[in-house]
Amino acid sequence: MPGLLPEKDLISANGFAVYRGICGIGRSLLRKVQSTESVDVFLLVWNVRGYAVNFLVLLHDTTPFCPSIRDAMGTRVRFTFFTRVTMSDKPVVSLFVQCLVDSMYPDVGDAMVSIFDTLRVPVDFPEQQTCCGQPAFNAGYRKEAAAAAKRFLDIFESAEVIVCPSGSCVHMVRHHYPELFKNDPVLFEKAKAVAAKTFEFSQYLVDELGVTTLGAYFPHKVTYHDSCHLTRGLRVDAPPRKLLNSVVGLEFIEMKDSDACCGFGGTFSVNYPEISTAMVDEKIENILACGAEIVTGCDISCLMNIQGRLSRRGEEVKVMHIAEILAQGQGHGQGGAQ
Amino acid sequence: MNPSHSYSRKAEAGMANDTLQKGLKMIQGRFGKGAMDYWSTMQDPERRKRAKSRRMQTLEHLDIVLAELAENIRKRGGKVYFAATAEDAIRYTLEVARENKVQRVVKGKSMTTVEVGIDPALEKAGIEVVETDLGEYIVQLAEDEPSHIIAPCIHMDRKQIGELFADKLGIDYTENPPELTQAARTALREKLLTADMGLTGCNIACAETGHVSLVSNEGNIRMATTMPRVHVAFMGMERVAANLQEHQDLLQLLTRGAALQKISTYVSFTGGVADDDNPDGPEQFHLVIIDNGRSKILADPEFREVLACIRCGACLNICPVYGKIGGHAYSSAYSGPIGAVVTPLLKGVNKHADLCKGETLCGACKDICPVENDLPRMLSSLRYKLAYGDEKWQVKPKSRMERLGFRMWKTGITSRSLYSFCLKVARWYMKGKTGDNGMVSAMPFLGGKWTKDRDLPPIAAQTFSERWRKTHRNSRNGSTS
Repeated sequence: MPGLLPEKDLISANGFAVYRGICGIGRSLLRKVQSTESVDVFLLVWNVRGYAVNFLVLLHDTTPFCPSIRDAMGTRVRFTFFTRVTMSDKPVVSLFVQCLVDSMYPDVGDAMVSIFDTLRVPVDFPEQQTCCGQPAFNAGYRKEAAAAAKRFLDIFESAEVIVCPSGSCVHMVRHHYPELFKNDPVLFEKAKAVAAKTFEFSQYLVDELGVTTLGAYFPHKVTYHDSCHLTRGLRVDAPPRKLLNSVVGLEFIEMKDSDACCGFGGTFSVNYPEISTAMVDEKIENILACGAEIVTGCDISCLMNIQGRLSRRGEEVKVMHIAEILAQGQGHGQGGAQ
Repeated sequence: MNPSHSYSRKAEAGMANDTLQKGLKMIQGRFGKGAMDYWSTMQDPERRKRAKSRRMQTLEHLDIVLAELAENIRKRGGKVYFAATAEDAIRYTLEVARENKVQRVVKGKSMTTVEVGIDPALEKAGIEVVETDLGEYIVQLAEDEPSHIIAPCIHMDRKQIGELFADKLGIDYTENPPELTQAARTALREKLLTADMGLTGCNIACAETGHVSLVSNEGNIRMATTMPRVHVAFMGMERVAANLQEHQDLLQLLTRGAALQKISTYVSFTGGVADDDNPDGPEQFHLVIIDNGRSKILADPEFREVLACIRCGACLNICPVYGKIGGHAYSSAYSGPIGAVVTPLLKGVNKHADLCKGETLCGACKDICPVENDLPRMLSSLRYKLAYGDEKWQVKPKSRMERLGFRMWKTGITSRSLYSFCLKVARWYMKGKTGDNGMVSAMPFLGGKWTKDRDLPPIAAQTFSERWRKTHRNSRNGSTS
């Protein structure tokens, strides 16, 4: 429910705790009420409450006890007071956009935001995030990876859920973070807690939110590449297919060996470029053979590898992250951000 | 020859070999997929887990189990020799050969004998060594090396084999498989009938009964173990089941994993010598139980699991890297994912650093393994040792440059402002290099290895963080709504 808050990092810890506490109570109430017919009435009441909460937080943070925060908040706070609360019974999604999406594929991040907006799922983006540390970990540099992991845990510790458009990064957080800190009880517990609330994007939509259709429209032939760490590490292969099959106009075609590795493998791709290229070439042969116009997937690094080779070979097939497809023409007036 | 220099070269040779590529495609398409299908539909889905846990239990008590095996073999008139090193195994075998005035040795397919290097030692002692497994025989005639654990001559086609046989066996050229097989059979039969010693490996030994099981599909093992006067079996010290139940589970997983067979055409249980009750068999049976680095693996909980391997070769049949480069690049009797873990552990991590690093950690080998060995985890551990060095395994840090690179990376990603600054520099740099297709096709340094055969997308004009700050964040906070 970011609408309540001007900016997480500008709100005092106390104010934030109050806000979270109220949100939590509100959500559990709402879940109860949702089973009855009085939802609309409740929504109305809750909205009013939202303003009140906002006011409380505002009051709290502008008291003489924390003048620095009051100053820091400046004029934005006044606007914040009039913010309309987005009503939602769903936990706030903290986006972990993954470094390649952040730097090279920001459209994927936009698409995720747009989809969550359509679903009325509150979204947050912890701005200090960088990389989860996977490249270092897979190359054996665990000390450096642990530094990245520690930082990640600090940044995302307070998140309600963490959603990422890359299966391998989620695999890193879920499986390798606890392993990295197995000799440090405090960090180990922290890592396990964060791991338990970190989800891959399609997994979160289907398995956690129960969403299988987003009302997207995308009249193209699409094939799907199963990324290794998503399909074998996290055992996620059905959710993306469910989502793709729900897209209006989309013709879904399975390629041969969709779960065969594309040859990326992090540093592998630059340490052994010839082998890596031979592997991605086989992937591309299978993509071309199935006749799809678009190849999609749930891990941007694999897609970058496939795209890079497709582009070099001058192939017509385009690469899109699944979020980009699901955000196409979605919403049917439900208030998507596009 | 330093294997680390030859890995990429041999890998490239493998990728350029069309015959190998065809063979690999066939074997992966058929056996790799077949095994995965079988595991997912088999009636007793717990068998793999059960086998693994039994296997680990046996490994926990390996000293006791091996003592029982030795005792039972000796009871049946066999001799048991514990070889601490490959040299010990060679010395013992040469002694046995000398005592029995052996002039010709016929071999059953065995990777342990290749690991130990017994063939050159025997040949040096003036003893003829003949492989009797058809694939191994072909490879031996071609003076080549096996490229697959189960299918040693997967890198050759029938044309090449026809030419080879015409050249070495003096038959008329043919590429008709039955005729080629018949030619090999004729040549091998004579060798088998006249050999003085049969030298085999051991698929699984059973401590409870004191026998050694060998699987084959050609019947050569049965002949090699019963016709010569002396049978010597080489066994890696971990290849033992405590009892018949474990033995049975492993045997069935082995033939399924290796070739989708419910059971192989031949399964030979050997162990003792011929006597009045049991007239078929050798006059002498020697079991050489080989350590050669295994106890070090056993002592390390991180890698102990790899000793559970039953060498079925299933991981080769699914590994996308092996599927491209073939077996020769691994410079070892053990190729594919299992080779990538076990070869460095047995022969030196630094020496075989390329094997540790040359995978994508895609996890397919873990999924197909009949005993569910987590090879990717162990590869990752090996890389960890290569990164910083490791005393226990005498590993030196592999590359200072790489270490420095990751240190710099760490500095970059642990500060968002520095990270953003780096992205800005990269964006500025890549902007000038972006082609009409919106991709960058030439980068310097490490990036050059990427752009050798692939394009790279440039850093976006606005990163997601920037977009969030400029658009999304505000629209969520109400100041713009």
